[in-house]
Order: sequence, then structure tokens, then C-alpha cells
Amino acid sequence: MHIPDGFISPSTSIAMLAITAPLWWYGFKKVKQNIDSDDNASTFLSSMAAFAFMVMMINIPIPGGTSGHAVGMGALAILLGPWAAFFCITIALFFQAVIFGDGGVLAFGANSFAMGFIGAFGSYYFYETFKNKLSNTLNLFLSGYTGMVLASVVIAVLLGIQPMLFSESGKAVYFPFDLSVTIPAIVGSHILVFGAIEGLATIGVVRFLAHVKEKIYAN
Amino acid sequence: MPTKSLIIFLLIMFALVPLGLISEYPAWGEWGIEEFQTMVGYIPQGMQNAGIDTPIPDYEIHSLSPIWSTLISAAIGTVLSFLFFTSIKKSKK
Repeated sequence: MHIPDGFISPSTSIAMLAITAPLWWYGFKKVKQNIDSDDNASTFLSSMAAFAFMVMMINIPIPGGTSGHAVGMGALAILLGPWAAFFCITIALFFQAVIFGDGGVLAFGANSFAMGFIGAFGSYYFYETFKNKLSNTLNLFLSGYTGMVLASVVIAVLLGIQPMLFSESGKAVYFPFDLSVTIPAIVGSHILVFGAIEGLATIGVVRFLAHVKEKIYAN
Repeated sequence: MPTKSLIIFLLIMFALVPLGLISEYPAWGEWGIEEFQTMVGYIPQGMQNAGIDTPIPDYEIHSLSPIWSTLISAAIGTVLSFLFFTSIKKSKK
């Protein structure tokens, strides 16, 4: 799900950096308030960013010669709130991009927006909306699932519009497959498999760490 | 502070990370640029020479086995996360 550099045009990357930068600034402010008001918050935030970093390394193969991974957006959104979740995922993505070449440096805004912002806010608002309408387990599952599928839509659109916008004499300059290919391939695989994996990760992690959240944010 | 739960949680994650090596295939679309040659008959011009050189590309550390590379990469990611948020905490004074 990490868009590498060169797969979307520099103009697309810069537009996404411009959209996402103010969100980073606001997310940072929220996280800093959190850390200043609670001595233990930084340990919890660090742990959750480390979790996002590691869970994204666990590539799960699916038929058709491809693979995917959970992001942790559901668990982070529900345990930390959407702004801190977005910020933690962004930090994990930043280290992945600059140290491990996983996801582009210029495309970092696009990846942070899709997996961090859309993923975390999609999960969070799904969870809040259905809090009293669904069983908690089902709600946890579906909130992770929804965040993941929404994030995959953003990635599929960003890649799929490239050949429509940037082609020279019949050849794509950047990613060559258009929306008719990227939507079924990327969104389809997230609806069928990776959304469910994110959903299961959300249930497991929130169950395991719910008491940590309560203790840290009790006062 | 329930530090113990967080340590157990991160150790479980750390133990699970090598499972990511089972998949030989990248995510859909995240192919090496040579593979576009096979798929569409050319390498898109904008993909050539894009990106920067990173210290540990693809979580593979030269001369180390894939499992050690992955574990060390996961450890680096974890340590950096802690350094980052701890530095925010320190900077408040």
C-alpha cells in the first residue's frame, strides 16, 4: 500500500504534501498536548507507532502473486483517538520511507494521507457511529475493515489517475494502469482480504491494550 | 503505568514480524521498475531514477540473513519511535 516515488507524478506528490502538512501540524499539536498533560502518554504513543511500523512489515500473501498487510489504523484510532493515531502512523511511515525505502519520500504525503489520515479517521468515526448499535467485537472488526478499505480507495485513485493525466505518445509517464485496473485490484483485495486482516488486528490489539488506555487516560 | 503489557505486546509483534518473509511477492502495484517492462512493454519514464537511496532498502541488511535483517529493522523502527516521542516529552521543558 506504500506508493513509491516515481509511481505518481511529482505534482501529485506535492499536492498531497500540501494537503497533509497542515494535518501533521495539527496532529503534532494534539500529540504534544497529550504528552504534556500525561507523563505516561509518550510511552503509549511510542509503543503504538512501533506497533504500526512492525505490523506493516508483516506481508501476507494472497492468490494472484501479490501481498498486503495491516496498518494498525483501527487499533490506534480507537486507543489513541484519530489525531494521535494519524500522527503515530505518519511517524512509522516516515521512518519506513527515509530509512527502508518502503514508500517514497516525495510520495510520503500521499501515503500519510491515505493510511494515516483517511485510515484513522475512517476507523474512528465508524466506531463512534456504531458504538451502541453493534456488539463491541463486531464494531471493532468493522471499524478496522472500513478504515482499511477507505485508505485503499485513496491509493487506488492516486495511482489510477496517473495514466489519465500523464501520458506521452501513448506511454504512461508514471503508473501505467488506470482506475479500471487499480480499483478492482487494490480496493478489491482490501475488501476481500486485507480489510478483514485489519479488522482482526483491531479486535486483538484493542482487547489486549484496552486496560492500558484506561490507566493512562484515567486522570 | 502498565508498562508490562506494552512490553509483552511489542515482544509479540517482534516475534510475528518474520512471518512477513513468507510472502515472496510485493503488494499489488509495488513492483520493481523492470517488471513494468514485462507487463506493459516499457518502463515509464518518470519511474526511472525516481526516489532516493536509503540506508537499508527493503529492510535487507547486506550480509545478514533475511530473518536477522527483518528483526533488526523492526528493532530500529521501534527504537526510533521511542526516541521520537521521548524527545517531544523532553522538549516541553
